[in-house]
Amino acid sequence: MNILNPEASVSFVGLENYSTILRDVGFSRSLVTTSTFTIAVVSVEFLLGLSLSLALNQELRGKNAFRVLVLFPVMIAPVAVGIVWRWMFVDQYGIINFVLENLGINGPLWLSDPSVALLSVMLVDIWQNTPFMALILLAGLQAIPRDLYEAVNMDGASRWQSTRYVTLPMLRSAILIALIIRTIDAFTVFDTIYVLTGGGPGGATGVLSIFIYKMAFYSIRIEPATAGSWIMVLMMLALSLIYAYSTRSKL
Amino acid sequence: MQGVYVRRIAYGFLVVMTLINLFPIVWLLISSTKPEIEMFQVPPTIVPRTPSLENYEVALFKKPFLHYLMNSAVIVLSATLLSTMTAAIAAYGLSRYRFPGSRLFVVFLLIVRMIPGIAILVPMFVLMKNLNLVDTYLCLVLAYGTFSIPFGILMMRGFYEELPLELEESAMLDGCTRLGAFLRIAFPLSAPGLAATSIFNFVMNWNEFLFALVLTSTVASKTVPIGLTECISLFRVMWGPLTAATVVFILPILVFAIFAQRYLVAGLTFGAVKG
Repeated sequence: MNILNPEASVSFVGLENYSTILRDVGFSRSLVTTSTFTIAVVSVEFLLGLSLSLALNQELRGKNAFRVLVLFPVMIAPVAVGIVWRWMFVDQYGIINFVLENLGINGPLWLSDPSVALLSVMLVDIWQNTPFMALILLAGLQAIPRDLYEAVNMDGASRWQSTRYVTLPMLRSAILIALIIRTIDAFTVFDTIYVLTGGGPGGATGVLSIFIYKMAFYSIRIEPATAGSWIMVLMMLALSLIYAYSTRSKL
Repeated sequence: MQGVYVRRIAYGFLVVMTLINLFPIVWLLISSTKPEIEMFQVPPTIVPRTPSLENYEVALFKKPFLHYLMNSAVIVLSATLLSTMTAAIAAYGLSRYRFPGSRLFVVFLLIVRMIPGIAILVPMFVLMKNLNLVDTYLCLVLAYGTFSIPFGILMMRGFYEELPLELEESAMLDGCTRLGAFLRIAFPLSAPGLAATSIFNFVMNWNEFLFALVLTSTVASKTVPIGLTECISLFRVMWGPLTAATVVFILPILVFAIFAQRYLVAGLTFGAVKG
């Protein structure tokens, strides 16, 4: 297909584009990169976010200020987040390597060393989205009726027991939704990586969205690119159905 | 005893997390007020020795940044206004009428919300190209509508379902039409919902990058995020103007986060609690 003249000679090719993309080495490589990225950031964000939400749910002094400040990373554009972190990651005069040097550690080349770059972009994603995870879980925590805690306290449950047997089960659907939303967003991450590394160095951070974008708009291989994006949609649809089903079953 | 211990740990954890959350933003602010020479100084200065607004001057007046800012403002405000109004009417209809497929429609909206931008990017570009809309304001307004409207319908539906039917019924007994009942009764009463929906959509559209990247090509419609990435080239990043422009770009959002926190949290956590 000619992208500038979409109606010129369209012919039906069946599943050819799908077999092209599935046989593409770059596609399978970026599928692995994306999955690694997704699994790593979602698990870390979940554990940190859960702790953060439990802390935010305590009756502490200044809790409203904490709840406003926790919003900042979530609300800032991923592009801006990428810029800020790229500035902090700069090798020679960046603040991160300066601090590490003072601690006696020789900081890595965060964004230009292929073995570290993926870890760096993960760190940025974790910084931005842990608060998001925490806010969803906090909303879930606040929806748990107080009398449940009073009831188990009367029965002499310890703090750990009331967390284990009341909080976590009651939080089940909020956890599920937080995990699904974050999995979808992490799987389709684009903006931060585009700004931080552009998918480099040497494809080390080339996640699926970047790969498909480059295939469609740099190499102008529209057909396999759209086939690739459809494979992504199908994977996301499967997750969305679980999402729709899990929210419906509660009604 | 145990309680005090837990609270101390929670407090310490919150303080550490908040410092980590704030540090990059503060560092951006500090860096943007340093003149070029001090910016690249080793070791970096924590408090700027010669603070200046030089970077802001370059960013705002020597580059088309003000133009991008205006593009962003016009596009995002129109998209938000249009989407919220459309969504409000659709949501009202969905909450007051049962028609064949109305449940399926809601499930469909949920699915639309989950489809990644990259998947509709190419078809959207081809469509806009055919309509001769690429690089116009209308193009991005329509593109942003495709995700703002479904989200808005889902969110506003919750608000209309909670409004008591009696108010509209008595208005209709007094001779109001259905549309009149919506415009005079339900619409004004859903003001908190409208605020939450539009504020959330505003922030999402203000921050949007991928569609703007593909659907704009000149200063005629490029938005701020695209303008920012123009300061980054393969060989050189213009850190001075870039940090200053980024501060200007995120400032309105931080102000929103402080003053409209409740509405933003409602938008973010929407669906997590009530389903």
